Amino acid sequence: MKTSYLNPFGQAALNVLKNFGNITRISQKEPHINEIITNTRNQDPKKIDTIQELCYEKIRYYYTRQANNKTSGYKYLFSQALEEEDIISTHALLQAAAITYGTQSYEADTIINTITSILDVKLDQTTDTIMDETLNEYIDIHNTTLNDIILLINNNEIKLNELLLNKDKLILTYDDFIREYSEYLQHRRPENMYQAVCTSMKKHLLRALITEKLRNYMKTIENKLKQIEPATIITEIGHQIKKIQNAEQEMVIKRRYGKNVNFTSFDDDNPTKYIPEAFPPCVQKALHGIKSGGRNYCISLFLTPFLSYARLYPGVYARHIKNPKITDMDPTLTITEEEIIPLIYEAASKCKPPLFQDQPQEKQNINSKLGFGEGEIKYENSGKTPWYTPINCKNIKEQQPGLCTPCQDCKKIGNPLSYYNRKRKLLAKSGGKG
Amino acid sequence: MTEDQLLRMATREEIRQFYHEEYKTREIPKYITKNIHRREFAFDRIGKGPRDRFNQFRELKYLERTIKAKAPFAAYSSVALYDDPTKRSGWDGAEMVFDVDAKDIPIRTCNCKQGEVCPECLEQAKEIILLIRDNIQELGYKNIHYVYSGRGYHLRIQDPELLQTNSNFRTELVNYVLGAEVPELTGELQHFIIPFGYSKIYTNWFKYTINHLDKNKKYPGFSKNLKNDIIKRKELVNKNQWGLVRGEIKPTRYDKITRSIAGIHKELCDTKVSIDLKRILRLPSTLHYKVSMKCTAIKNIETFDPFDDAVPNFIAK
Ligand code: SF4
Ligand SMILES: [Zn+2]
Repeated sequence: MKTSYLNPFGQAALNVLKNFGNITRISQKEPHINEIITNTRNQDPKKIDTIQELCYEKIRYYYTRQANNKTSGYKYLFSQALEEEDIISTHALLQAAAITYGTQSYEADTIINTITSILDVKLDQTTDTIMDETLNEYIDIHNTTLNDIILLINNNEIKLNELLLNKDKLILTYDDFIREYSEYLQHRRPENMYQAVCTSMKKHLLRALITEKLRNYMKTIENKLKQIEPATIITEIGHQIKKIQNAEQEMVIKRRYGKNVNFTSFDDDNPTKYIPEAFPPCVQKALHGIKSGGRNYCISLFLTPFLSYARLYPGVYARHIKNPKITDMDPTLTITEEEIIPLIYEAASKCKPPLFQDQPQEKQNINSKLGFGEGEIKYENSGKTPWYTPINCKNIKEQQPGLCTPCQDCKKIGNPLSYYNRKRKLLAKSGGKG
Repeated sequence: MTEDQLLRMATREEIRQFYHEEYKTREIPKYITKNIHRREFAFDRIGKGPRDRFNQFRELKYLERTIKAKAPFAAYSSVALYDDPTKRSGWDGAEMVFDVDAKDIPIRTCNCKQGEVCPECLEQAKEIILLIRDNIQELGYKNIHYVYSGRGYHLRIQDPELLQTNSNFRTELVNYVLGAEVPELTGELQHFIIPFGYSKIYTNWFKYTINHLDKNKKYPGFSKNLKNDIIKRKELVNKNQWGLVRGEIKPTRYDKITRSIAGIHKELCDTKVSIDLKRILRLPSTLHYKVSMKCTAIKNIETFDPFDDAVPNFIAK
C-alpha cells in the first residue's frame, strides 16, 4: 500500500496526475476498470469503463450510504488496484464542483462529503505505517503543536478533545507516547494502550487534514477559473453532479415520506409536515397577525423561529447539536422558500398595518433570524448568523403578554415548540389526523 | 464590618462618592491602557445595563474624565481590539475569557438564594478559576491575567496565537478545559483508565463535581436515585476505585452519570462570554454597584482576598 491510497495530494498522487496527462482522457474507455470490478471480492457485477463514470458512481455511493442502504455494489471503490483512477476522478469531481457551482455551494459540499465518505472506509483498511507516512505528507508527526493545526479546529474539521496533547505538543508516535506516559501504564500493555488511544485520533486528524486540503484545492481552482477556460468534460461532470443529486435526493425523500407516517415513531430530527392542529394558542394567534405594537417581536422573533424549527427540526431541544444551520435540514431551501416563508409573510400581511408596508426592511431581519445574516436566502449565506431557536413561554409572557392565552396543555411545557411536539404525539395517539 | 454590610447594593450617592473621591485610573491594568484607543468602552448610565456603547478614548485621561463625570452604574471595555471601536469595525483579535460568576455556579455548597453571593461561593468561584487555570497551563498557554469582577472572577488569556481564533475554536477550548464533554473513547476504554490528556481533565472535574453535590439539591440530568447512588460512592471516587463505582451503579446508569456530569461542567463558567469575539467585560478599577465591590485586577491570585483587596472606602469605613 502507498500513501496515494489515502492522499490525493501527496507527491505520489501528483505524479499519477502528471502521467495521466490531459484530463479529457477521462471519457475514454478503459477496459481494465471493469476487470478490476469483476475481480473485487463480494462485489456485485457492474459495468463501468470510464473514469468519468467512476466519478458518478462515487456520488451515488455517498447517497446510498447516507440513506443507510446496502453499499455492497461499491466495494471496488476501495480497491488498491483502482488507486490511480481514484485519484484522477477525485480531482475531476473537485474541479467540476468548484468551476460549475463555486466553493461555497451545496454541490461543493456534496463532493467533499462524497470524497471523505470514501476516505473513511479506506482509513479503516489502512495500516498504522501507511497512516503515519500519509500524515507526514502534511505535518511532522514527531513535532506538531496545537498552533500548527489550529485552523482545523477553527474550521470545525476536528474536535480539540479528540487530540492527545502534552502541553501544546501532539502525541502521535509510539515513541512519544511511551516517553510521556509509560509511568502511568504500569498495569497495561503499552502497545495496546497506544493503539486504543492514538489510532482513532490519527484517523480523525488525517481526515481533517485531507478535508481541509480538498477545500483549499477547490478555492485554488475557483480562482484559476478567472484566467482559463475549463475543459468541456469538466463542465459536463458539473452538470451531471446536480442531476445525480436531484435523483438521489428524491429517493431519500421518498424513503422518508413515501410510506404512511407512522405515529409511534416520530422522527423529530428531520423535516416533518406541519400539523397545524397541534400549534399552541400563541402561534394560532400570531398566524392571524396582530395590531401595531409588537409586530416585529411577533413575526420576526417569535413566529419565524417557531415555524422554521417546527417544519424542519422539531427535535432541536432534545439534541445537542451546536449551531444547527437551516441548510443542514433543507439543503436546497425548497421547504424554506415554498412553505415556511409564505406562512411568515402571510402572518406579516395580516398585521395591522401590514408589517412590510411600513417596514420593508423587516424581511431582511427575518432572513437573519433564519441564519442568512445580511444576505438573501441562499445556500452560501446559511449560518452567517445563528438560526434563532424558538422563544420560551416565559419570555413571551414578559414581552408580549397579549399573545399568550394558555390552555390546559400549556401547563406541561415551557416552550411553544415543546407544546407542538407533545401535542402532535397526543393527537396521534387519540387517532387525530396528522 | 459585619456580613450584612458587605455585598449590599450601593446607593446612587455612594456611586458618585466613589468616583469623585477614590477612583483611580491607574488601577486599570496595563494590558488595557496600552491599546486603549483600540478598545470599545461601554457604560451603564441608569442601572439598566450597558446601553451606552461604541465609545472610544484616544488617551487614558479622556476615559478618566468621562468616568468621573458620569459616575456610571457600571463601566466596561471590549476584549477585542478594533481599527475603529466606534463602529466595531476592523476587528483585530480578542482575548479569550473564562467568566466564573459565583451566583451561577451549578454546584454551590453555600445557602445563597438565587442571584445572591456570599464569601463561601465567592471562594468556590476562585477555586474553579484556579482549576481552569491549571488546565489552560497544561495546554501551554502562559499569558494569563485575573480580574475579580465583583461577583466572581475573570480569567483572560492573551497568548498571541489565541487572539485570532474564532468562536469554533473557543467553544472547543471551553469544552476541553471544563471537561464539558464525555471523552469519546474506542472499545472498552473508560475515561478513568487513561490518566492523561483530555480524559484526565474530565476525570478531575468529575471528582470535583461529585464532591460538591448536595443530597438536598436538584441537578439537571440527575434523578433523585441516580444522584444519591453516586453521592453514596463519593469515597470510592476519591480513592480512584472507579471500576467498583461503575460496577455497583451498573454501566448504563454510570454512562448516564458521565453525560449529566459533563452538562454540569459546561455550566461552571459562562460559555457565552468565552466564545463571543466582541464581548465587553467589566472594567477593572470600577465599581460593581449591586454588591458594592470593586472590580479589581489581581496581582497574585493565590493570596487575593476580595474582602481585603476589593472593598471600596465607603463600605470599609
Ligand atoms: S403558555 Fe406558552 S405555548 Fe401556551 S400560549 Fe402561552 S406562550 Fe404559547
Ligand atoms: Zn453563596
